[in-house]
Parts: sequence; C-alpha cells; structure tokens
Amino acid sequence: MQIDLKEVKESFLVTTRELLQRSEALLLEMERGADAEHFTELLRAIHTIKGNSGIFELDPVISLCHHFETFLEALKGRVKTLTTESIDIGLTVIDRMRALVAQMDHPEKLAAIGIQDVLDALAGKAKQQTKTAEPAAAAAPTSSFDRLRAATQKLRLPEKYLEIAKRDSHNLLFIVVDFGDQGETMLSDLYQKFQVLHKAGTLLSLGVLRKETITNQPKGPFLPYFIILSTALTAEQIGAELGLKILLHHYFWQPQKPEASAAPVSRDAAREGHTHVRETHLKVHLDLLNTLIDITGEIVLTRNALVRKVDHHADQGLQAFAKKLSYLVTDLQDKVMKTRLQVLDVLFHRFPRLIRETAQQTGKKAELRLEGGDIEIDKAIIDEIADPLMHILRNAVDHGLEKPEDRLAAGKAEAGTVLVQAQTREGNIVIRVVDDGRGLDIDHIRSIAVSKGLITRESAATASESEVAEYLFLPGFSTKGEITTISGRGVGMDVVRTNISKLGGSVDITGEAGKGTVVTMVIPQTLSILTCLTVEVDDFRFVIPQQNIVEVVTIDETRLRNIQNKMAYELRQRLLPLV
Amino acid sequence: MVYNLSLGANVNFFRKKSNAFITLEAPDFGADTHKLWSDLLYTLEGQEVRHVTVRLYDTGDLTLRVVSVIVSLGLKLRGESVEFELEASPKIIAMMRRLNFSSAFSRLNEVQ
Repeated sequence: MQIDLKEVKESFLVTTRELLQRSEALLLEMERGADAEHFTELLRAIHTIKGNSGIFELDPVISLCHHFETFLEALKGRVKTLTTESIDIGLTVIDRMRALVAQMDHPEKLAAIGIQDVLDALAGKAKQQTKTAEPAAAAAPTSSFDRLRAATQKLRLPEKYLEIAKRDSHNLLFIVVDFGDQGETMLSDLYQKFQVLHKAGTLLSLGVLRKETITNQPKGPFLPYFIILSTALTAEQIGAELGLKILLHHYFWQPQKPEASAAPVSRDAAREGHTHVRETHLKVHLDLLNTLIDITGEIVLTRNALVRKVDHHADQGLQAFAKKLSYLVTDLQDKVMKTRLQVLDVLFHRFPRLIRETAQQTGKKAELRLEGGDIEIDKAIIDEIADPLMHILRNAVDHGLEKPEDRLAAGKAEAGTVLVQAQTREGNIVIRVVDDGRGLDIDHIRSIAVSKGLITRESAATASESEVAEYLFLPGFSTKGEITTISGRGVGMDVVRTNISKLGGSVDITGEAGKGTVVTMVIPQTLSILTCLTVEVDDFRFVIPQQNIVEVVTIDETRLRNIQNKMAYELRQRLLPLV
Repeated sequence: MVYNLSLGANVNFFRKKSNAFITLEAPDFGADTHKLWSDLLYTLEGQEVRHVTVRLYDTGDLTLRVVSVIVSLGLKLRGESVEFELEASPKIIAMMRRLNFSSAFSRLNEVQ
C-alpha cells in the first residue's frame, strides 16, 4: 500500500491545529481551576502532537512538546490553579508551535524560529514551581523527582512491550508510585488488586527503581516503584484501580483515538464487551465541498430551466417527473449548502484568550460569557466576521470596562463581564456583544467628533443620542487620547461596519452611561444562496438580491415626474430617480 | 558484645558482633514511617554490621509504608555489601516475591 504523504501532511496540519486550539482553551480554563482531567487532556494533546511531529521530523516542535510535558507533569496533582505566569508560558509554547508547524515546508524559515527562550522559560518556571510546591510533594525531593522524571523519559523499554501494546491497541503505560506515600494501604490489598489487573490489560513489569531510591535522608526513605502496563485505561484509572497515588506516569505509546483513525478494537476490549464506536465524521477538503456546491448550483439552474419548459408541455406524466426532480434537487441543494456551515464555536474559541490578553494589557479584569456557539453559519461568513468581532471585543474591554478600582467604587463587581450572544432571527444571525462597563459618554463622543472635524458643531448640537453613537462608525474616529497596540488609531468601527456591510449585514451600537454598551451585528446565515427577485423588462431579465430590496411599489403613473429630462417617481413626498 | 534494646512497643533489636537481628511485631510497626526508619538506622550505628536479619512476627500483612522502609533498608544495605535477610510468614514472603522486591534481600525466609 502506498502512503500519500501529502494527504498525511494535511491531516497532520488539521489535527495539530485542532489540538493546539484545544490546548489553548484548556490552559485558559486551568487559570480558573485545574484538576487532573485538565492535565490529562492537555498532556495527551501535547503528547499526540509530539508523536505526530516525529513523522515529519519536526525536531523543534518535538523538543517544545517534550519540555512542556515535563513542565506540566511537575505541576500535575500539585496545584489547583495555574499561575498567570505559567499560563503565559503555556500560551507562548502553543504560539511557537503554531508558527513552527506553519513553516514546516520551509526549512530556512523553520530554522529561523527560535525556541530556546521558550525552553529556558519552561525550565526556569518548572524549577521555581517545584520549589514552591505544596508540602504534599515533600516526600519526593525536588532534585530526585526531577531526576526520576528525566530518567523515566529516557527509559528504553523492551520492544516486545511495544508489540503487545500495539497488538492490543492499548496504552503502553509507565507508572511510578512512592511506596512510602500510600497511606494505610495494605500489602495484601495491593497484591490482590494486582491479581485482577490483567482484566485492564497486561502487566508487563514491576519493581523498584533502584537507582532513584533515596535512603540517605533522616526523614525516611523515598522508594519509587514502577509498574509497566499495556492497558486500555489511563494512568489515573489505573491509580484508582490499584488504590495508589501516582507520582508520575509516562505513555510510551498510545493508540490513535477512535475519531482520528479506525483503530482496531482490542481483543481484550472486545472480550470485556466494549463496543467499537462507529465514526460519524469525515474530514473533507474544502475544495471538494466547493466543487460540490458549484455542481449543485448548476443542477439547480438546469432544473429551473427544465421545469419552465415542462410547464408548457402537455404530458402530465412528464410534469409529475419534473416536479419530483425539482423537490429532490431542492433537497440536495439544502443538504449540500449545510456542508459549508460551521458552528460559531469555531470562532468563539478564540475569544477567551483575546479577552484575557486585552484585560492584561489594559489592567482590567474581565469575565467572558459565550452564548449561541452551536449556531451554524457559513464558513465564508465566519472568516469575514472574525476580525470585526475581535475588534469589537477588544473595544469592549479597552473602552467599555472600567479599571477594577473604578468598578468597585461604582458598586460593581471587580471583574467586568463581556457577553457574546448569538441568535438566529428571520434567516439572519444576530450577534450581540454586551459589556457591563461605563457605557457611551455621548457628550465626549460629540466633542471628539467636532474636534476632529468629522461633523460640524451645529449638527452635533442637534444630534440625538443614537445619532451621536453613530459617530463611532465615522472613519478616523477615536476617543482614545493615546495610541496603544489595542486602540487609539481611529481605524476600527468604520472598518467593522464596512466589512459587515459587504456581507449584506449591519452593525449598530447603543449604550447607557454607567451601565454598559451593546454592539449588535446582524449578518446573513449564508452567502452561498442569494434569494433574489426576478424582474423582466421587455426582453431583459434582471435579478435583484432580496437583501438589497427595501420595498416593492406598484407604479402609479400619475406620480411619475420628468425633471430636467430625467425620470423620477414621487413616493411619500420624496423623489426617487428611475433607472 | 550483645545489645538488646527495645526501641518502642513494636521494634526490638539485638546485635551480636557484626550481626544485627531486628524484630518487628504486629499489628503496627509504627504509624510514623520516619520514626521506624530512624529506629532501624539507629540499630546499625556504631560497630560495623555485616549481616542484618529482620523478623516479622505474628503478622500476615503489612502497610505499604512499612514495606517501603524494609525494602529501602534492604537496598541501602545491599548497596553497602551487607547481607540482609527477611523472615516472615509464607504469605508475606510470597507477596514480596510477586511484587518483585526479592532483589532488596539476600534471602527471603518463610517462618511460621
């Protein structure tokens, strides 16, 4: 069988992107609270990236993954939340891996991306955190733990262990426990549990890590005991099965996850009555989907022409067939169009980090709430609204939210809230970004607009609050006195509105002083189907997109006017030029 | 010269020349692992010891903490070329063997 390397590479890129995205989300969650599952999932993601990168010999990525794993292992089970500094380092690792993977086809560019600074940061932080770790970790002295961990990862297991794990599609798992740190667990209990461990896999080896044993300390010995298993269970599950506190673990091999590839069901799993999970999703190249959409469009047009011809045909049977074909084609079109839809979560998952970083840069505290991430929207629209939405979110934190001390003084919670809420309404998607910050300072906006010469003093004086809010969308408008990396250049909301308008959507802003600001975007759900009005004039047929039609009016000839040889129509005391 | 000291309710030892005999009695060999470890090291201080025998009496089971202390002591002594024997019930000896602790001892002796 030949392996299509291009296909493998594309699959690697897609999978790695997803894993990095998930890792980023996990890190952000871990700032609020980190449990064993967070660590396990993150470690597994990084480990998978490391393994996959090996196929393409992406050594810098492998090295980053390896050191990041070490960093995380040192923290696992010791901390309940990750510090901001640790999260920052983790996010830097992820960013660097993204950059490296993006340049995997360009060795020179790849080599130009350094990683030593990140490795140093990881090593430095790991050391610092191990030093300040909870007393619970005192049983494993820092140096011995580090040495043990390093030794574990350098271990070379017998090939036959790997063969067994692969044969059974199991994890090849190496576990180390401190035998002296197992509370009141009795030897006979552990012995009995070992007897039944074969149900969870194959016990390959066990014993004392003699070289890592420490006996020359007055406070008691440190006796690391290792267990090597080929098992379908995770390290945590094995720890629970045996009733042991696991000091550290290492997966020397892991089978592909079921959704990533059709891994065979292990014989043991089958014996235990585990069922194989049927795959429900396939990755399809976007080009293929677009081709399908184009072909479907052609079929729809052909169907329309056919139906028109058959309408004038006397054969009733032919008409019935044409009608059925028409229904089927409509159904086909509907389903094919759905293939381009993606859930908004694809976009939303970028926001937690954006909010975190903007809050950090501006000295604010911000909580993000996301609603409606399950709403489906055309991929092309997601691509187009990403930047505008991120701009609006940055504004919400930078302009909207107050500093923590100001919020407390105003009787608000120290951390502001930014809500991103998506809803479907009349075939459109409505996305609202709501913050509970200081709201719009109408007088300030008014004076800025005048001082920048964007409007005249007279029109500003007579403008209503909603009209003043519209000034925010004027090119060059900025309420910021100084230019920062986030805002102040006056390039922003006007570009947001322009981009959203190009999609056939709209964006508005409202706010109440002291209570917050609401930015509302209304965008069509898809760009691929345009509902149009067909107009026939003489032998010409015109098709006008429905979204561009404000009103359809029956012409009253008495209201036609000729003004300087140009025709116009008088509608509700306004003259509309006729084309 | 023979030392015969009691280090606590459950740990006793005596030394004869370079041989040390340590007895640990059930049910508890010391709730504090550190204390047990220090007690055992104390028995070996002073004159050079070439042979140590640990006897576990009247017990069919041990906590893992105690196992860790005994095995660690065995590894330490074996590293110093000191003979280290364990005398215990057949059940404990079987479990020690099964859990691959044999290498910490020069000999595992079953006693009733």
